[in-house]
Amino acid sequence: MKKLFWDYLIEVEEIKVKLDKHGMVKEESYHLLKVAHDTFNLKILDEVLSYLPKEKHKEFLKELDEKPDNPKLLEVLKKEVEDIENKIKEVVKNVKQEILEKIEEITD
Amino acid sequence: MKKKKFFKAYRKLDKLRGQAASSLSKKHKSSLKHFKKKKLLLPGLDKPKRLLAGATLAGSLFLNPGGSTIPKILDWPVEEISKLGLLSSYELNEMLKENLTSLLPGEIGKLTKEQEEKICEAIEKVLGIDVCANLEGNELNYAYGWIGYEQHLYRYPGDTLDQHDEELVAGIAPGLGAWGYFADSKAAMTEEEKLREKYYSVVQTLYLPEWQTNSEELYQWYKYRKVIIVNPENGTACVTVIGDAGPAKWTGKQFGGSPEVMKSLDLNLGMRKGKVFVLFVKDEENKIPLGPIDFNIRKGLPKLG
Repeated sequence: MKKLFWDYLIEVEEIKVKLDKHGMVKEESYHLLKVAHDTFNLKILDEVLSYLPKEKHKEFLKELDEKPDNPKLLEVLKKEVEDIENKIKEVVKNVKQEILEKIEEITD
Repeated sequence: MKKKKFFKAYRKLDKLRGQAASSLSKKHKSSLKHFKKKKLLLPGLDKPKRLLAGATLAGSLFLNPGGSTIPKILDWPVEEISKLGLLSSYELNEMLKENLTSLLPGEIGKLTKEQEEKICEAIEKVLGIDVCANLEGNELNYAYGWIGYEQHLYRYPGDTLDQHDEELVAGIAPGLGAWGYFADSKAAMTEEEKLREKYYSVVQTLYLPEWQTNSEELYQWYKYRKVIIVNPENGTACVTVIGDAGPAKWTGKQFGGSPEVMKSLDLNLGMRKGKVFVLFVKDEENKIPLGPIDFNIRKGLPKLG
């Protein structure tokens, strides 16, 4: 899986634990965590682009293309968007909550 | 059953992912065109293409679980597999082949109404694509016939064989296709135009009975008309556009396929011909991608890679 510079803000341990509790085997958890990870990434990019001025989108996405795991991208974002790190953390928190609730709904 | 839980969880999480992708696409559509690696980094944004990549992985993981507790996918309940489209491309081909084997017409030609209904239903069920032999009153002389291997076509003035990216061994036809160049120039060529040449098919418009009286209208109607080509021998399928007229009757073939189309149908080696179904794709919104179909268009496949 390709690394993105915001990966360090995504924490999936609780999801793993929840999946374990529901008796998912390793391969099943792998599938589900991949889907969860995609969702985090999609939501984070949505958030970032929503706050980043439109005229900066092209440059930012070009940089993301070239080196998606470059930590400097976060520095660039910090200059453009106030408190972006916490905004991303908030997105992660909400998405995680939503995912945990969906897993919780599963019954036999 | 434990695996039922997995399916339930997968459906729920996949829905969330779909919603996230849809929201992002809608809100930032114009910006995302600058994001070339989005398919790689955010695969949920482009489901069909991402699924192509995942399909083989899905097959290998599930068919060769390496001691895992997941049973072979083909042992899973068919309804569940179908709901998720959890199939490798090989399994999908096998499923299509199995569905079509008993429906093969004895001879090449048009299909009877009953044959058309059953064959189109089988294709729709397995691939998730609506197809038909008669669309808007237009019907080819053959829906089942022989297809042959064609050469590349010039896409724009100044195009050369070495600018094509695959199957260069096929060479390039000396003349233009029946509809001329695919693009005005190399610089102006869009991805769609590029794919039209890559996945073009050839049908015998010239021999249509109504061609003598209505050629102008038919010429426009058939231009880049989307058709699916299915090889019932192996269950492979490719969505193409009609990009040239032919082949001549004396060849004994009724259709042609670009080098890439023929490769996707596994008809690019040996005699380089085979009996196929050629059917119109009902795709008013132009959403069905051109190229080999390795997944159920409607249901997709789970992402693995």
